[in-house]
Amino acid sequence: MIHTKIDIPKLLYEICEDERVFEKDIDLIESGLLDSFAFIELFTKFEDHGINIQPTRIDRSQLKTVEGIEKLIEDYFEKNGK
Amino acid sequence: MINKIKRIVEKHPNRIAYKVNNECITYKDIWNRAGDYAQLLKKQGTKPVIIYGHKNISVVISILSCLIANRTYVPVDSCIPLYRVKQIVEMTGSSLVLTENNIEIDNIESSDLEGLKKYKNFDIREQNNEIVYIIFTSGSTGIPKGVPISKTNLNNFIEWISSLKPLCDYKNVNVFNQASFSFDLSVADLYYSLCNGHTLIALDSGMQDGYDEIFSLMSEIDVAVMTPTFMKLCLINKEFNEKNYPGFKCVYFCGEQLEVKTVQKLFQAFPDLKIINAYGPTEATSAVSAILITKEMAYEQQLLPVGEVKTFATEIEIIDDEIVLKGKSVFSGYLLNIIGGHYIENDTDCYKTGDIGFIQDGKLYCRGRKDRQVKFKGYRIELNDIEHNIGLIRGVKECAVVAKYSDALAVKSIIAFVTAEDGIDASYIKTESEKFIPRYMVPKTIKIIEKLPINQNGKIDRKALSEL
Repeated sequence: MIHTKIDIPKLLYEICEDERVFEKDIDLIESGLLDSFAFIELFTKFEDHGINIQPTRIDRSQLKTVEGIEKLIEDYFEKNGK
Repeated sequence: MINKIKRIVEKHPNRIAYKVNNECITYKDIWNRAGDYAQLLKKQGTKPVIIYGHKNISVVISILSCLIANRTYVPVDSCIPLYRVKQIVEMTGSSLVLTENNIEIDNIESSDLEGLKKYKNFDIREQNNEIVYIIFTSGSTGIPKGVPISKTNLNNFIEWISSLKPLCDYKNVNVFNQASFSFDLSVADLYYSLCNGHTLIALDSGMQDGYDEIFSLMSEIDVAVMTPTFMKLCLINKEFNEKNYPGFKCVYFCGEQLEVKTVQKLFQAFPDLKIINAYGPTEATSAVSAILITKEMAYEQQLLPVGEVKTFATEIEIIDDEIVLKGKSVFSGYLLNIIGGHYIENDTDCYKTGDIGFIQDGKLYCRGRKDRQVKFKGYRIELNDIEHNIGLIRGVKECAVVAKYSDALAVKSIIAFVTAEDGIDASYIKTESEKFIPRYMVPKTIKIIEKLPINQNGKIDRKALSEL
């Protein structure tokens, strides 16, 4: 598993309140878990953690899996030297 | 209202009336095409016409055709499951589904606009029809409720919205349509735009999945009609600000509670933006009150007003803490005389909204519901409607649905608690639910439990469930 400074599955569970976020290989978009409402919350929570990612600057497919989101955050930390 | 549109067509024939997915149509073309189809619609029959589709140009032509032909239209978005469409067809007694989609329903003709040409040689059937459209909302019995809106209702609404400051000052602007035509928020953008000679630019649902497309579209917009939830989605993008979107002048919010936090963020991004907060139920023609939100309100108040007394579209009273509407904006009762809120007093239509509110310093405030109706993602949902329809699924024994709130007024999620036969799981219930109710009503979380808690009165203890 990619190491990140925030626990993404836990964060997603807080947003979605659905245990399927812990399932391996779950497609968050296809399953409807990461709908527009959850999307708002996810990026708001990123902000709360001091992570400023522009949703228009990322490939939406990166949000499809927990691993993709973890990678996104890791890349952010690497780029921003945190 | 049809004369108003006609005058715009005569004055600005080559102006773009409607645009979606880079396709557009001028006022002259939409009027001529709608006029031709209206002649055929007059020959086809007199019963309400179901307009099934999403944002295609043909949907707007169909609406205009019905207006010209004096036929009641019933907008049904393609996100509505077939089971519910059939209920709507039965309740309206419609004889025609006008659609570009492939949809077949027993005992009713389904045709696209071109297909109407087969009525060319039929006789015109004139009729007196007062009802312009019927919009269906979530019903607490599990069956959608039809809200018929008359010409008087709609004319009053158009006159009101067209006189609102600063909307009345704009000339030839681009107006943003977010909601689908089966939700009455779209009544505001559609009629404000067409009756005032603006260009309506629609967001297609497919486009809503692509974040980039939303912002590329927003760069064309002067006046946006949207739900606060949609604005929250836009505000995630820090580049959505005055510098990058200099043309964005005004936003008209309606459909759900506008939170102070959203307005504060919006003012940070667009310090000079005019923010209108409007209020009204489908039963009173989209909206009956509105107010321009100031920075003082955004930074000094916990709860934002939803209207000011001096610009009410209709009479508004607070009776036992409930907002009650009376007069020209109010419908004359649900389709099939389904009861709920409507009554007549001194020959005037009145509607008890179920919204709890108060008037202070000449301003109207709304602070929640008396019943189990919620606003979620801008959609009006009866929790009983979800319960009833999940209860129809084979293998489900009992179901209780509760809303969880992020603060006093904003619904964060909807959760269904279900007792079911062995082997039934949440994903099966979710898939089956989509056959009965639109996707936006399907609870994201479905919990299978052994039995539903009962309170001292022998009823399902929903309070206990919401705390689980």
